[in-house]
Amino acid sequence: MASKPLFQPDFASPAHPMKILATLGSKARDRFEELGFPSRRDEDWRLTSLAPVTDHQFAKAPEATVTTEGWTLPDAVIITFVNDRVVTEIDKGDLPPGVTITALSSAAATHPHLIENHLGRLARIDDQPFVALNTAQGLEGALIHLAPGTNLDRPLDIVYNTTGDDIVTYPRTLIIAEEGAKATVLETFVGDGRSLICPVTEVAVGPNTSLSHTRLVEINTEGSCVGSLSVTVDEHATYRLSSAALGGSLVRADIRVDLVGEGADTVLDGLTLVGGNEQGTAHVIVDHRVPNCTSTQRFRSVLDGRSKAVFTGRIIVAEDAQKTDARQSSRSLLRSSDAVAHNNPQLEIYADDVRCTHGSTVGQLNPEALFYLRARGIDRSTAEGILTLAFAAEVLEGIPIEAVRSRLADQLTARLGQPSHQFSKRKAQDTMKFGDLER
Amino acid sequence: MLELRNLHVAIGGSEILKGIDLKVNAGEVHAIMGPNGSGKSTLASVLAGREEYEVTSGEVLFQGENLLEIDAETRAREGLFLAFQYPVEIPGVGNTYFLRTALNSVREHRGQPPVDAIDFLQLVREKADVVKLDPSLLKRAVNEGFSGGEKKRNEIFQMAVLEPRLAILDETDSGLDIDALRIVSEGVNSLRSPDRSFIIITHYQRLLDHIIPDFVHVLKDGRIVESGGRELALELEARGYDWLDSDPALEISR
Ligand SMILES: Nc1ncnc2c1ncn2[C@@H]1O[C@H](COP(=O)(O)OP(=O)(O)O)[C@@H](O)[C@H]1O
Ligand SMILES: [Mg+2]
Repeated sequence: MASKPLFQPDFASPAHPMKILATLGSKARDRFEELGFPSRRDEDWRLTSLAPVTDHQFAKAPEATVTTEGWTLPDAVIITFVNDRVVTEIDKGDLPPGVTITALSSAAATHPHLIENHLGRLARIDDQPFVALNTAQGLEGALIHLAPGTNLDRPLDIVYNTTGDDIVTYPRTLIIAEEGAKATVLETFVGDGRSLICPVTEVAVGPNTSLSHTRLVEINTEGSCVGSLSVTVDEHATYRLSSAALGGSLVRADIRVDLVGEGADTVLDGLTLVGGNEQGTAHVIVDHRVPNCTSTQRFRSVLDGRSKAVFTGRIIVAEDAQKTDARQSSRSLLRSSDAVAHNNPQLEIYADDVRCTHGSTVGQLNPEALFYLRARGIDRSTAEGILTLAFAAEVLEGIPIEAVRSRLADQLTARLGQPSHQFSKRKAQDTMKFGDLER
Repeated sequence: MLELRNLHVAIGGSEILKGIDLKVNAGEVHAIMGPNGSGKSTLASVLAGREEYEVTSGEVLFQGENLLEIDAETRAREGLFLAFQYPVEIPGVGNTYFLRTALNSVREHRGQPPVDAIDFLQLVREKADVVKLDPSLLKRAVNEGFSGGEKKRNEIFQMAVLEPRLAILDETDSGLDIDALRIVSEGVNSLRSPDRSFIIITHYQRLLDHIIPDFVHVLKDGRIVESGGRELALELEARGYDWLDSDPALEISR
């Protein structure tokens, strides 16, 4: 690395009283000290500028207990984090049967086998510096456990609040959905200042289970979020993810989904909206380890100003993972001629009887469509907003919770309200249209 | 209503329209005919406000205003409507949502309150019936997956909803079968009124059997080489365009 980063994580907190967590934590700390922050020489980080993280000193967030007033889902089971800790008093009587929600520290005592078998096993510290960093920072998060056959009809709404400037938080959540369970989970990462959020979420989706997961990053343009999501999907289970990030100095998600049981199916949608000098990255790995699994990735980014968006989508198909059906599409919409989008499909296919498709486009708003709307009386910036929303529609429509869908659409509209940079006429003419290149 | 004076238009450095003079009064229907590539769509596009065309000289007055100084959306709000020759498909944008946004933009410009969703639905049903547009198409995205004929009907349907002062129909007849042609023509005729004008671009005269024009102009190689009444259309049908010379200066020697 060129120079020593200004951000020196604080490892001063005392060892965890629960031995299992303490061991995990100290291993992770050692690992982080070996790895350090990723550099541009690291292939997975080549296109990410870490300056928003490393060029700033973030202090470990104080222990806060007050719940901030934020948006929550109606009729949901709400789990609130403030900084690194869960602050919700989960009223056991209020939880549907089969559902356990508890702090990791108590879970280490009450459900040691669950912790041992899953925590730190899905999100790996060996090659992911930010996972190591998170794991080394106290593991104050939550365990959510769904017993076999639990059918949760209310969504779980997990809100991670990071409040204040110049602080860093390390939220940690482990979700275990046992065989035959069915649930909808929403995670919202909220930051109101120049803060850094480094969350890690691990999800184990058991056999015949159906889990629908939505992740929203709602931070302001000064804040950053570098998060990791690691999922295993067992046989005949379905895991559906909708992930959206609306801005942030650096907002990056490293998503890994391992299909480990035959007949597993996953659909991963992502939307990144960046402007100004913001950077958004989705780094996705779908690992088909066994035969007969299906995966679909649909990632979209919308860029204004001088922003940058990166999508890397790796599909790995193991040697005996025959009859794999893996699809990927990534599309970026440049609303400014100064913005840059990278879409990198990466295929590592070791089996021969598979179907893999991928397509990626980087384009601008279709000038024909824009003119059509204007020729009907709709002003340019509204027309651009309508077309941008249409571009994001596929991902929006995939969000299973109506309240989240409309909230996100409203936020998008509000953000797009600012007139975007205009293209020069010359540029507008050699524009390609969407749809031309797909597949 | 509309007056073009010596309009010259170029694109990418080549001149497409080479001095067009045209006057359309309120309530009149003008047909513009001409072979492919003569500049008919260019004329329509320039009037609608497409920016890639460069007006190199001449002027255009619309309701007394200098049209060329107004952007496309304002032209539409002031009552100019173009039925596109090739309506574009816009995936992800619902037809109804689009048209309500358009109508409310126009209404706002006219100082009228926005229509609410319920009144709009009523209006849409009424107007869809004018061109026998299958109402289920309105639930789809704008023009997405529409047949050629459905796209053309959708254009006329939009015109019926937006109630323009001047409508320019660019080859609305192409791709329509006889029945559809009759229905679309009836739709257009029902919108004829003393304060609404039409410019109907076509290269077949059959449309003009249904929509009777007051004037017919022949556009050839960027110039209006002949103007007359509806009988000119019949003559063109019988004799084609070749007998008309594209350079009026040569007419003397004919
Ligand atoms: N965008 C454009 N770029 C370059 N040439 C164009 C463009 N649009 C039209 N033209 C040319 O202008 C001429 C007139 O085209 P057009 O107005 O579409 O004719 P028409 O509608 O009468 O068939 C043609 O020679 C066509 O190739
Ligand atoms: Mg044409």
